[in-house]
Amino acid sequence: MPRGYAGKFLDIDLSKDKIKDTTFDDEILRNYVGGRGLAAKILWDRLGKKWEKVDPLGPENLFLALTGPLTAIHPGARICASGKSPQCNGIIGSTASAEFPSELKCAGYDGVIVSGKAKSPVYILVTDDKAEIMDAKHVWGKEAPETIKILTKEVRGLLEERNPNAGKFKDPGIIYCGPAGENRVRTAAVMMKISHAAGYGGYGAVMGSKNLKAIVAKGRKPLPDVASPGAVRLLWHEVDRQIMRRDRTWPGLWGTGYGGYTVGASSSSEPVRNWQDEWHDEKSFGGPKFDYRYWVKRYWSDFNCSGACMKLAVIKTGPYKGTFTDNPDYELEAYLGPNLGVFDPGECIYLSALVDYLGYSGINGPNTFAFAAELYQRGILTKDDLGFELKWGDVNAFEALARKIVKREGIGDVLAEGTYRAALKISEMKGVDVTKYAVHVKGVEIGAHGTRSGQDIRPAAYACSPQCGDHTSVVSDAYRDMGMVFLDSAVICSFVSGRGLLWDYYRAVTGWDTTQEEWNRTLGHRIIHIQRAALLLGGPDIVWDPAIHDDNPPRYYEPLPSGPYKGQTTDRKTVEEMKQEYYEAIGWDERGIPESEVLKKLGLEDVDKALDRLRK
Amino acid sequence: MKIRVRAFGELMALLGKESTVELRDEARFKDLVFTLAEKTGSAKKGFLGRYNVTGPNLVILLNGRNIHALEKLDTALKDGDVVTLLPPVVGG
Amino acid sequence: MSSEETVWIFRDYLRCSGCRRCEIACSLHHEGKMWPEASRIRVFMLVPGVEIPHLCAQCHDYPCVSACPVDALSVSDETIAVLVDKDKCISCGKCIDACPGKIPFLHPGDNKAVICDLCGGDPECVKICQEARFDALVSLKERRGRENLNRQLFAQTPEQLTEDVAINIFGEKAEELI
Repeated sequence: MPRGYAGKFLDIDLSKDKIKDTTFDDEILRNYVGGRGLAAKILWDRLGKKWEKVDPLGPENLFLALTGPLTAIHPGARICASGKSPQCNGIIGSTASAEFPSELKCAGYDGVIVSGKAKSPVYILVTDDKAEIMDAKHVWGKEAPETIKILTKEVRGLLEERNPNAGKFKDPGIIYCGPAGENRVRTAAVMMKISHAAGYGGYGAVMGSKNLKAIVAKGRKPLPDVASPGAVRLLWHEVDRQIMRRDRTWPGLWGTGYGGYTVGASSSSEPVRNWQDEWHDEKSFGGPKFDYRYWVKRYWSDFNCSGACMKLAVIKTGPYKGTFTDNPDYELEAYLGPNLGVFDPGECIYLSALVDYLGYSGINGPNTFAFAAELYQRGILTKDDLGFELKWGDVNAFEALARKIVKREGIGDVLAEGTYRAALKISEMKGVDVTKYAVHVKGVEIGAHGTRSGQDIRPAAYACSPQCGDHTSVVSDAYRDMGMVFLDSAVICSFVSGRGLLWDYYRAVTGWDTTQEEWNRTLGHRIIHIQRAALLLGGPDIVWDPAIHDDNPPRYYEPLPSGPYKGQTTDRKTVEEMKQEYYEAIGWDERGIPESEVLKKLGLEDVDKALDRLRK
Repeated sequence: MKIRVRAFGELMALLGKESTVELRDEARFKDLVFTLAEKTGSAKKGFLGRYNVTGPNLVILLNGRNIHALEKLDTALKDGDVVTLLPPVVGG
Repeated sequence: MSSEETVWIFRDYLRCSGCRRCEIACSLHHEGKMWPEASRIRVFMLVPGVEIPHLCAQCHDYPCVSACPVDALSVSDETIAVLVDKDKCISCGKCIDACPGKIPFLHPGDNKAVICDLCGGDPECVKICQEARFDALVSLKERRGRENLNRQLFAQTPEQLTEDVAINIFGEKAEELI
């Protein structure tokens, strides 16, 4: 029995109101670990045979929230959300930090697997070795602050009632979907705390489609036992020592909130006005302005993390007085900032808070806003279509748009389908091809890191990635890039995974003998192949053709209009060459389909068989 | 033999996006490093720009494979090979 | 800790990052495992961003000790922290009721009262907080017998502390959030 695991998973069918515990063989756990890896395995086993037919927003899809053996025991506790993705129709492991994962493990569960659809809005309450389905009608429709406030009070009250002498109960861990998820907006995130989002993949919409408003956990047992407690204790201190070695400038002091300026000015890879540019030199945007004017707390953290890269931002004066949120982190600085033509930190904080409160992914959601704004700029979408003008930098207009999409009103209903599907629909509606303005890879809007300057993401990194536009997990050599696959599966934060300590930590916790080499060459590959197979089989509405869709968006081939890399762009020939290099390294044929021999050697015969119909 | 070198990040400024390097027939990867180091003006041996060639920060691919998964600096080269130099990227 | 001095933990709530490594350190020390719910210091976040590490304040009149019907609670001569005799404790919860801050709690494992014992004078939570340089928990040395009367004022409920710190951070907006 491997250590680090609580020992069982919740398996809940909301259609049948059935709750049971489920476990996995030691061999499966050793191979897939947890989080992203295990999610891929579970999804493939349960849905693989009919993958193309499963509607991500239908009751058949699974919603998974999984931890891993390192979660909460290694610094930087995270939870991984997954399912069949409403964005790419594949499998993405989408993670975020919170106390929820440690609460879940302390309650005796390594994860929650949800199928079916509840008859009316519910939340799942997880306490020690027990789960209950609770009515959530009173929180349905609520934005993040209200949702957290109500559920925290309710569950604390309930627990104090059930344990009358025990003293005060701490706040439970909560993951939830916002109004965006409730209305199945494809760019909706799985939210936790006030502003943390497991955004990529659109799994907030999967929650909403199941009438699942939240999962709330309060665990009072210890964290799971580890194989070598003495070693873990030493390593725990050592990881923190490494974080503190450079005075915690990374990730603590600067967070990623100083990137709003530098990614634009220095690496020229920050989206500006729907990626029409990637360079800006707006010195007020980034770093000190956010920090000194708005950050009330410079070190704000999640469970078991001294990296403390979050910051509490509060707006105290002006039209947005009272707004509060985290930082924002670099991604939201870019996506609710320059990419919307907004260069004022206060306005950016306001819009970031807005998208968090509504339950959008702060990357995927605003990507669609910028797409709509470019169409407005070009006269393709008009004031009549939108109900208002949508000019770059107009905070009120973008707020109106965000709310219109969440409500699925008018053109909001089209845009709620995500940038790519909206582009297809609008092309049809307007008789003009607008897909060239959609910045996505296989339906997943891309993170705020461009490829054109050559200073940031590499030419084929998104194009071949099973997580598509997800900037946190791009591909390079089918070896080193396995690192992120591991972190997504062990489920811990990449910002604080101690250099050189990670694998010792893993072995000390689990008692296994897994090495980094074995992971890089074999174990990680299995997960990539499953994700790739699911992605290529796709369906039901879109099936990707790697010959066309293993590519960057058209925008990434336009020359940069300004800045130190003006005129530069992504070189198509390089993309094609690097794609083939990657295919060879990972074991896919020249069309990007996993090779039969490679799959069989890894014991993935059923995946191989399923891919036969693509090989013809 | 001729080796194609692709450089990204900071090394792009020092080496150009794409360049071709001529090496002797039996050359190994370390010979390429030596030649490139001269171009990047590295004072230190085994460095390209400010990156240690065998360090954790610089990812080096030979025809798409990480050289750490091959023979590292001893990896044999052949005519037409493509070497990609990937310095670290910004966080997110 | 000399015989002339006692130690008291000062709480600087605005500096607390909410990392809860104090909970991990405390439970590792007292329970031998990572067990946040058994930690004598408990971090509450009832309002986003308002992190409240909650622990015994060693009130000078020790209302919890007087309230215990079976004399399970006593005051350490050495550290002047409250000590719990688990064998005597009957899990009645009267110490919790008596505490102005409702700070004690019943152990999630054996259901006995749990109160911070200052780790015998060298608190683990303070050390871990200083390791990360948050310094939200600071060890203050006080003269034995002349300990600050203000200590009892720090024994407040998490809700009371949350309200004050929330106003500090958010201003008027705090009222909506509490």
